[in-house]
Amino acid sequence: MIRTGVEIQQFAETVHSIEGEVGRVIVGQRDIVRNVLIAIIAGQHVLLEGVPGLGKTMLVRTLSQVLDLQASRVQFTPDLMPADITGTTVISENAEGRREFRFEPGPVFTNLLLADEINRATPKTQSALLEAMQEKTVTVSRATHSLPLPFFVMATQNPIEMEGTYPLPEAQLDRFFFKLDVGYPSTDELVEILSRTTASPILSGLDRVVDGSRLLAMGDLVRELPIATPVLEYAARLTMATHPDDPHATKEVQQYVQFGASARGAQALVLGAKIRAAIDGRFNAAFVDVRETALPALRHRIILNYQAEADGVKADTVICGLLEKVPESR
Amino acid sequence: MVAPLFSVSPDAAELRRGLNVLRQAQRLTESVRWAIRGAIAGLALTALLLALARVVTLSTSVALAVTPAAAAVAALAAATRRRSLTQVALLADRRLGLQERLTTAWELAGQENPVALARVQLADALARLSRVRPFQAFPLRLSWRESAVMAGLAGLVIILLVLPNPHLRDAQQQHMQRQLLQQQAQAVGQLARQIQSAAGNTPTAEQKATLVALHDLEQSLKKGDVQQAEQALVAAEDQLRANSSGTAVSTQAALDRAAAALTGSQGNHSLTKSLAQAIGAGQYAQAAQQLQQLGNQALSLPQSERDALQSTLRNAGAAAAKSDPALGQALQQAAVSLGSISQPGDSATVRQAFQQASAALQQAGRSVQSESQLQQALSQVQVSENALGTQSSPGATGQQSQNSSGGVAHQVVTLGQGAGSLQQPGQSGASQQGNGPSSSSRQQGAQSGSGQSNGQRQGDGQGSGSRSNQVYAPKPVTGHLEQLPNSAQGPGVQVAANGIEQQPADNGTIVPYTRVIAQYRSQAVQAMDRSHVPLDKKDLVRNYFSALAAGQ
Repeated sequence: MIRTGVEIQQFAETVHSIEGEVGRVIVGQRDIVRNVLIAIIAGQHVLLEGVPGLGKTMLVRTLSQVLDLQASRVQFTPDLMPADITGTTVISENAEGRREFRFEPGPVFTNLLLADEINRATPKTQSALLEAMQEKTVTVSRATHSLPLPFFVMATQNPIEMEGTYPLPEAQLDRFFFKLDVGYPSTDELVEILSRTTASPILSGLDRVVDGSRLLAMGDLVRELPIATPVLEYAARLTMATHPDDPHATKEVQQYVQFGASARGAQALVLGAKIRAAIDGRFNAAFVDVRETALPALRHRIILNYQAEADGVKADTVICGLLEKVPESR
Repeated sequence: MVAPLFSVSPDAAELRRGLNVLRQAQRLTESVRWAIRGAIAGLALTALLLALARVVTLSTSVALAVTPAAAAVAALAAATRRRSLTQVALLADRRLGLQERLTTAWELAGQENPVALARVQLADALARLSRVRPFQAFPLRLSWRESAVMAGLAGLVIILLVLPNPHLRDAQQQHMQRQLLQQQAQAVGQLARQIQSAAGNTPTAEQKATLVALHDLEQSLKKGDVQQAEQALVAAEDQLRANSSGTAVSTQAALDRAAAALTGSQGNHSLTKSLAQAIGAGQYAQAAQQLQQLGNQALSLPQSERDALQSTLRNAGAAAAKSDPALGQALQQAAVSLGSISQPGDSATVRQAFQQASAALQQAGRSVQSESQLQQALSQVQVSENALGTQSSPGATGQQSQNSSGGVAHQVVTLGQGAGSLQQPGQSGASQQGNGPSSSSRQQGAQSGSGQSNGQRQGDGQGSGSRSNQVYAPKPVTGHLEQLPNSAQGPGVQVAANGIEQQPADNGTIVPYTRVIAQYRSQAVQAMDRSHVPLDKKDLVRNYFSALAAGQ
C-alpha cells in the first residue's frame, strides 16, 4: 500500500487537535499528555506515577471523551479480587427458564481502563491484568474473551504512602509502554487550574476528535514510518547500555543497576520515536526522537540495586547519564 | 550496490548526486582542517626541534621544513580518506539539523522492498537537500582554539629563531676550526712538498726528520680534532726544535763573511764577484760550481791575478774560519794551492784543493738550507698554533693586538724565535715570521735572541729559550712597540720606542709564578664565565691551573 505525505500531515494535525482539546481541561503537563497519546497510538499502556490531586484521573476521563472511547475506572484496594476486574461466571436463568452459567464481564472490558492506585492491590489481582494488557484477552473458567479494541490500560500509583502497597513485579512493569512521572504544576499553571475548576463544569464542552478505529489506523500508519539503521542501532546500544555488563555501560550503570531494560524497552524506544516523528510531521524517525523517548520508555525497566536506593539515585539519573555517554553513531 | 529504487526513481539518483557534492565539500573542508591541525603539530615539532637545536646539532632549515611537511601530509591524508555516502549523509544530517532525513533516504534508496512511506520520505529529503549549500554543511572555518594554539606556537617558533643559539655558535665555531685545521694541514702538506722538491733525491738527515715531522703533523691536522691537533702541533714543534742544528747559524755567518770578503777584496773582482753573488743569493750549488771552475781557470791566470785571487781566498777563508772552521780551512787550502803552482804537475793539486773548497761550500750551503727549511717548518707550526689559538679563544686576537699596540706586555715575549732566516724565492718572509707575543703557555720563560743580517736576509735570528718556573709579570711599558728593520737583531726583536727591549729581565718584573697563579686563575675563570666557552674547554683551562698549582 502506497502511503502519501498527506496521511502523515493528517496524523500530525489529529494529534495536535487531540492535545489542544485535552489542553482545554488539563493545564500544563504537555509532555505527559504527549506521551500518553504516543502510548495510546502505539496501542500500549501507561503507568502514571504521581501524588494524588495532579489530574491523573481527570486526564483519563478527558481522553476518553476526546478519543470517543469507552472508559471504566477501577480503584485498586488490597481486598480487590481478580474477578472484580476480569469478570466472573454467574448462574442465571435464560429465556426458557433454565439456569446456566453466564460470563459477567468485568470493568476490564472497555477501551480505556483506569487502574487507579494499582499498587494497592495484591500481586494476584495485579497479575489479573497481565493477560489483558499483553494479549488483550481475558480467560475466565477456561473461556477466553477478547477485549474490545482499542484497549488501553492507564494505571496510576502513588509514590508516597507506601504502607500496605504491593510494588508491581518486573513482569507487570514491563507490560507498560511508558511510565510517566506526573509532577506538580507551576504557579501559573496552578492559577489556571483554579480558574478552570472553580467555574462551570469543564468536561461538558469537549469535542470528540477521533474514535477508536481511527486510533487503530493511526497506529498502523506510524509503524510504517521508516527509521534508518544507525538510529535503530542507537536505540539498541542505548538499551544494551542499561545492562551493567555491557561494554557501553556507564560507571553509574555498573554501580547502581541490577538489571537492565528488556527488548520491550527497545521496542518502546523505536515505536515511541516513530510516533514522535510523525507527530512532528516528519517521515522518518531520528536520533532526537529516540533520546526524547528514552526516559518514559526505560525508567521503569531498569531495576536499581540497594546501593542506588541508599544513595538516592533514581533511574532517570542513570538514563540521563547514558544519553550523554552513548554515542549516536559508531 | 544498485537498489531497485534507483532504477525507477530519478529522485534516488538525484539524492546520490547531492550526497556526492556534499562528499566533495567535506573532503575539501577536512583537508583544510587537517592541514591546519598538521601545521599546528608541525609548529609544535618545529619548536621542539629548535629547542633541541640549542642542545644538540640540528639544522634550522630542517626544523622549519617540518611544519609545511606536516600540514601537507595531514591534508593529503584527509583528502584521500575514504568516506561512504552513508557517513556523509549522517554527518550532513547532524550538521544541518535534518534529523536523519538524508541518512534514512539513502538507506531506503538501497532497499529491495522499501516501506510504504519510502518515496514520501525520499522526496522530503531531496526537498531539504535542494535548499542546502555544500559548504553550509561543511564550512571552511578555523576554530578559535586552533587559531590561538597556532598563533602561540608560531610566536614560540619566532622567538626561538630570533634568540641567539649558543650551541649553533659553538657548532659554527667547531666547523670553522675544522676548516682551519684542514687549511693548516694543506699548508703543512704544501710546505712538506716544497721541502721534498727542494731536497731532491738525496735529502739530508735533517730534511728527512723535518719531512717526517711535517707529515705526521699533516695527518693529525687532517683528523679535525682540535685537542689532538694542538697536541700534534706541540709534538711537532718539539721535534723540529730537537732537530734544529745549532751550527747552521754559524755556518750561515761564515758564508756571509766569506761572501763579504770575496766582494770587498782588492783582487780580481770579475772572478770572485759572481761567486760572492751566488753565495749571497743562497745559490750554494751554483757557487760551488763556480768555485770549482775558478780552480780550473786559475792555472791560466796571470801571476798577478793569481796572487790577487790567492789573497782574496785567503781573506775569505780567514773570515769564514771564525764561524765555520772547515769551510775556512778549505778556502785557505785553495788559496795555498794557488801559491804553490810552480810546474805543470801542480795543477792537479790546485784542482783538488778547489774541489775540496767547492765541496765544503756545498756542504755548508746544504746545512744552511736544511736549517732554513726546518725553520720554515717551525714557523708554519707556530702559525698553525697561533691560528688555532685565535680560533679556539675569540678573545685571543684582541688580546694580541692589544699587546702589540697598547704597549703592555701581558705575556712573555718570545724574541728572535723561529724567524725565517732564509727567504726562499717566491715565498713571503713576513708570513713565515713566528715572532711576537706568543699565546702558547709552553713558551713561557725568558728567551733571548740574537741575530745578524746582511741586509738581504730578514730575521735570521736564532732563539734559545729555557723553561723556567718563573713568569713574566707585566708592567706597563711607555711608548709603543715597533720592529727594527734590517737591524742586527732581526725583525723578530721587538723593542719599545724608548729603546728598551721587551725581554724579560730580572728587573723586578720576574716573579715566581706561585705569586701570580691565583690571580691568573681568577681572571681566567672570570673571563670564561663572562663569555661562552665550551665546558670541555673550561675544564681544560681549570685543569691547567690545577696542574700548575699542584706543582707549587
